[in-house]
Amino acid sequence: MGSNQLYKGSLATIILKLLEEKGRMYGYQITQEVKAISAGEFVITEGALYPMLHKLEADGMLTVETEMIGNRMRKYYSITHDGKKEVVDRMAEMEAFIRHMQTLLNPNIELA
Amino acid sequence: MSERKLTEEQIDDLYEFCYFSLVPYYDVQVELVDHLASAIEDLWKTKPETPFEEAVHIVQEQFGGELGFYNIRKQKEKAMKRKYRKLLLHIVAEFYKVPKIMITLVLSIGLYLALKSTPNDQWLFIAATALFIGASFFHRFYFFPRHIRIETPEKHYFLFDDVANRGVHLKTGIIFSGALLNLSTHHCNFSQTGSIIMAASISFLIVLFYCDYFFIPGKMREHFQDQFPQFVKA
Repeated sequence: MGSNQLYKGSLATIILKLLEEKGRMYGYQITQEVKAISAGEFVITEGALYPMLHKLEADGMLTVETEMIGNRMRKYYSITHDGKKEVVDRMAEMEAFIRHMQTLLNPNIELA
Repeated sequence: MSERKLTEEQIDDLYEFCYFSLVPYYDVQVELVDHLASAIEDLWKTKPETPFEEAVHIVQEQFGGELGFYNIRKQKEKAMKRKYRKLLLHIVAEFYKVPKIMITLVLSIGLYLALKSTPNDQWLFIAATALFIGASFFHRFYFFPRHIRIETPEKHYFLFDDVANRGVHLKTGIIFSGALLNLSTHHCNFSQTGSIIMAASISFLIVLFYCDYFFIPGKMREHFQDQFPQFVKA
C-alpha cells in the first residue's frame, strides 16, 4: 500500500470528486469504491472518512438523505452546487501541486 | 445458497453496541450501524460461518478499536456545532444588512435613549437580564418543543437537537453571569460613548437571542425534514 500520509490532505477532494462522478453514495460504499479504483493501494479508514463527511456536510458541500434499505436505515451523501464549485477549485490546485512537485523533484523530465 | 444477512434483532444489537460504545445519538448511530452491517454482510460472503459477535469485533477494529466510535462522535459534535454556528450567524448577519438593519438601528437608538434617561442604568440591566432569562425558559420549555415538533425515536435522542439546546443554555449562562456581576455594583451611569457601546451590545444580544429562539427551530425542522422525515410530526 502507498503512503497514506500523502493521501491524507487530499481526502476531501477524493470524496467530493467521487460524489460528483457517481452521484449519491453511502459511507461504506465510498470506502469500497476507493479501494476498488486504487486496486487496494489506498484504503480510507472509517475513522477518517466519517469526520470528513460530517465536516463537508456542515460546510454545505454535501447534503444528506436517509432511506430504509431492507431492515436498516441508510444515509446517502450527495454533492451540492457549492461542493461542485469546490471540486473545480481543488482539482486545479491539485494539478498545480503535482506539476510543481514534478518540477521540483525531477527538473530534467519534460512533462507531456 | 443465499447470502447471509443480518436479522432485525441483530440490527437492534448493533444500535445497542453503538450506545455502549459511547455513541448515544441516533443521527450518528444510523450510519455506523449501516456501515457495520454492510461490512459484516461482506465478511459473511467469504466467511459465512463467522459468528455475529466475532464479525462485529472484526469490523469494529477497522474503526480504530474501542475508542474509534467515540472519536467519530466527537468529530460529529464539532461538525454539528459548526453547522449550528454558521446557521445562526447567517441569520444574525441579515439584521446588519439592508433592510433589516433598520430594526437593529431603531432598537439600538431606543436602548441608547433609555440608558440616557434612566437615572441609574443598573435598573435597565436588571430588566434586560430578567427579560433574557424569562425568554430562555419560555423558549426551552414552551416554544421550542411546540415549534420543532420532532418525534424522538424510543430510547434515543438527536445530536443536532442537543447541540442547539446547549447553544441556548450557553448564551443564557453568559447573560446570567453578567447579571450577577452587575448586581455586585450599586449604582452606575455610562458616559456618552459607554451608552452607545452598551446600547449596541444589548441590541446585538437581543437580535442573537431572537434569531436563536425563533429562526433556528424552523431551520432544525428543515434539517430533520431532509435527513429524517419519518420523525417530523405534521
